[in-house]
Amino acid sequence: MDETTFLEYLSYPFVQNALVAGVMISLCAALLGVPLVLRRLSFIGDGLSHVAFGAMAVAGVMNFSDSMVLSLPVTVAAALLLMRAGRGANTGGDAMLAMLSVGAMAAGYLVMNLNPSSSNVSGDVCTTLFGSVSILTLTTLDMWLSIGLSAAVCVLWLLSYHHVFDMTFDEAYARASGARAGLFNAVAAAVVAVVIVISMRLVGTLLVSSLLVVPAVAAMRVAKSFKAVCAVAAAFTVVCSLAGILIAVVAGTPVGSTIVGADIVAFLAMALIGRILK
Amino acid sequence: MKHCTMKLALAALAAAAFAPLAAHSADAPAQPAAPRKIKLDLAKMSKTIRTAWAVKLLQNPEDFKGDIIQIVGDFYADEPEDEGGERRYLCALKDAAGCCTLIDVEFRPREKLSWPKDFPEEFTPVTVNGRVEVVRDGKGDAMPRLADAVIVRQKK
Repeated sequence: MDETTFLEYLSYPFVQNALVAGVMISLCAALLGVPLVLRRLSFIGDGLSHVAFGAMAVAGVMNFSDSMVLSLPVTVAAALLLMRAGRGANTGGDAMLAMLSVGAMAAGYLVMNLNPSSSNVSGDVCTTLFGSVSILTLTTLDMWLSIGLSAAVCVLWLLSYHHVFDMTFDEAYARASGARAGLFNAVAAAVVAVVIVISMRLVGTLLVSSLLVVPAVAAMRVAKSFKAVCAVAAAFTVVCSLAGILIAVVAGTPVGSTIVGADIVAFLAMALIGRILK
Repeated sequence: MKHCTMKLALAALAAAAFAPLAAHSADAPAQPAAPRKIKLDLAKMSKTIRTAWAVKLLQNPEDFKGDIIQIVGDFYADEPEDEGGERRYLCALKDAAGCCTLIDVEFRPREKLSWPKDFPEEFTPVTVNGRVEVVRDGKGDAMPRLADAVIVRQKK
């Protein structure tokens, strides 16, 4: 029977770290998710997270102290490759994404089984895929890296808000107006990759898409302007991530699934509010 | 003669004075040991936090050295490979999903217990508390072990 009080749980440093890192990660994911959903790129999160999983597996086998050292550059490279492939004639971007996604996932699991770095391969894979306690077991370096990268993404997003707006709704107009669309897309692809890699520590590989997609879709149920959608998505994700982590801590449920569960419940509430407001 | 008689009398008096105390010690039931001050009690926590602490114990056992902790897991005994080796008693802490073992923590009972009579059935849930010490495994990695361990009996 759990006799630890809620305040005692909050007094543990790793719970405090998880709350701060979790909020920052979900905030930058939600902001990035709005233009991704509007540009019909919702599945890119899923694909890139599978690539990151493969890179993490190789990093584990090579005994890297921090898997991000390999997973970050590999995922950024995959994102840039996908961006170029999307413009190619031979293989469509979505087909390339699918191939890269399943190929990396399979390769990662194969590598982990052939060269296990721990005696509990299944448990490690399960934790990585679903993020059951990953956010609660961050090292100090992991935590500051996650917070730092999230903050950098948020600042970059705010500073380039007008470019994001133009490229989201009318890329052709943006190009005609002199915007460096190619550079913008490359930077955007890299930023998406960074957000995917750090989001995996919160909700795991398989549930990363939820952090990108659900806040944006929920916000669109009640807000009409781009600015309002971004603001509502940001508030939505902060509330749901906090609630998800705290419920998981007290109720003993996996953190990743609980956050996604909170997102879905909140989305249904927003959908209902949207209908009433109409 | 008088001197010897006095000595005998004094001895008899002392024996008479301490006899009730000896009788009391022999007949009275043993007092239960004072409850230990447990610094970290995983048995009182949610599964998620319990798993997080178990991961921290595995990652940095030095941070817990000297602390009295209480853990919950499945008990099992590891028979020695060599004839003269010692049997090891372990508590397998599960991950959050409960499907896989996160870490096997060896514990050394405080009292001299007889195997298997005084131990729980293997692969059943147990609660064990003890003082954390750090040992090295075959690969040289630091592992936690509970010294002066007490197996907490579940009330039926």
